[in-house]
Amino acid sequence: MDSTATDAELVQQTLRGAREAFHHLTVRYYRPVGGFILKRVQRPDLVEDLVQETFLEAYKALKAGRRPLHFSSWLFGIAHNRCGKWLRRKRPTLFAPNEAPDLAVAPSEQALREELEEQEKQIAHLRSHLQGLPEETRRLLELKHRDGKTCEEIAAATGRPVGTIKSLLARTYKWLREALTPTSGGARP
Amino acid sequence: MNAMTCHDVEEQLDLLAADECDRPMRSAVERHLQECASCAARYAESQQLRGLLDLHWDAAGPERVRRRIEREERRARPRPVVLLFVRQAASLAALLLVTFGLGWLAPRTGTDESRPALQLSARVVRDDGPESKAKMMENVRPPVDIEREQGPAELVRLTLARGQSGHAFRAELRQAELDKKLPTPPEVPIALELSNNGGRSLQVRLGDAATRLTLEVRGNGVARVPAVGVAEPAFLRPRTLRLEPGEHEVLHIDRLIAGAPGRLEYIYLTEPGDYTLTARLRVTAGGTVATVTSPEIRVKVGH
Repeated sequence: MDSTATDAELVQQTLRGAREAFHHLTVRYYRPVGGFILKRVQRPDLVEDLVQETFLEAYKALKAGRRPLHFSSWLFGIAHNRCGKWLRRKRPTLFAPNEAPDLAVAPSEQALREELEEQEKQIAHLRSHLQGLPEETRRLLELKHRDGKTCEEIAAATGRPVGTIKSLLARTYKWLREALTPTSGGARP
Repeated sequence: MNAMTCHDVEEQLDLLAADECDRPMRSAVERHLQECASCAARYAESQQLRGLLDLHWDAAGPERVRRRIEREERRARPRPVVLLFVRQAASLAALLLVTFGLGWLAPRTGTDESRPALQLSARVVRDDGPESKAKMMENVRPPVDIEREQGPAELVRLTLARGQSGHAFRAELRQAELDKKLPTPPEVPIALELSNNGGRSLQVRLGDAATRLTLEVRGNGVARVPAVGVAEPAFLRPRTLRLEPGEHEVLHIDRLIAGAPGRLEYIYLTEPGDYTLTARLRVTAGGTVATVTSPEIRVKVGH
């Protein structure tokens, strides 16, 4: 199966029962949908669940014969509804009823396409900034975010003091955060 | 720790979002965030960055979606009648064999697909040793007092203090929440057992951003209150467990405290009657975020 196929072609193949085609769509949109959800719920720990539910719902709808005109904005619409459901759920008082924006109004198709562009741009920016980091710093971020290691574990693995690891991590986050904000900039860590 | 300024807090926000603040610092920063809107907005940016970095390196995400779709399709497939009967009989046998039910499953990292890799069981701790008693004495405060029922049934008995209505208790809790002086929630002698029943070694991370303990308590009179700036229970301490096949780790719950690092809730039972408690633990296991659910425990609250 050709992973360079267009969305419409992959949707057609999914409709004909090719699960692999839907996997290509998942690979293509996993991160943009994740970024979209993150922006709305502002809770990194919830993103994975909501992304999975979004793709699952999309897959079920396609299997049921749904033929979206534009797959990406349709998918983002599902993600939007999933976030809305989560925000409107009967909340235990565990989390303060604040922070996340109200999602009562459904965005237009145009707005959803702009969202996709924005997310793709943000992902590309992040990738290019990460590529520009010194090897050691990039390795530190990999250990932290890809392997899920704590600073203590990284310190033990690299033989460096925990304080040094934390300082480097803090400087890197600050630089990345500022680099991703268009109006600001700073010295690379 | 003294009250922190916005400048002090700003230095810590990225580390807090990455779960790398040590406990005293984290409590102080969280207290500041409760009261400072501009730092809270800055913290949202830190969380956004953390989420983007997690996504950037989450190469296995699409594969997990694929596996979930496959699981859902298997579940939705109609089962042959004979197989259904066999499964029901097996379920009944399992219930009889295990005194107090089995936990739930995820992720399937074992070689045998029909066998859940990670399970959670729950049991009432019957250890009434001196240490346990001392802890009870120290922590007992109105209006809850405890007895453990001896016997085969998994039942926790709690006793409300005489003379205080549920209504009065809840009013007291509301005030205590405002005053930020919440009473310690009731002690519950419950242990969760996280077992690796798969065929491979499994790495389980606790205390990271994915870790969350949900205590689903049902009954008339459950009060849940956000607990801000309180000490975190031991089960949320960041650590990594390596569970070999057949091994288990016991997590003591001790009190009705649930939630995630930095977002805790205290749970109180304010009316006499029967309650049920189900624990749901979300952890990172084998590189995947998995939620395991315990069987139900009965809780009886009397006068």
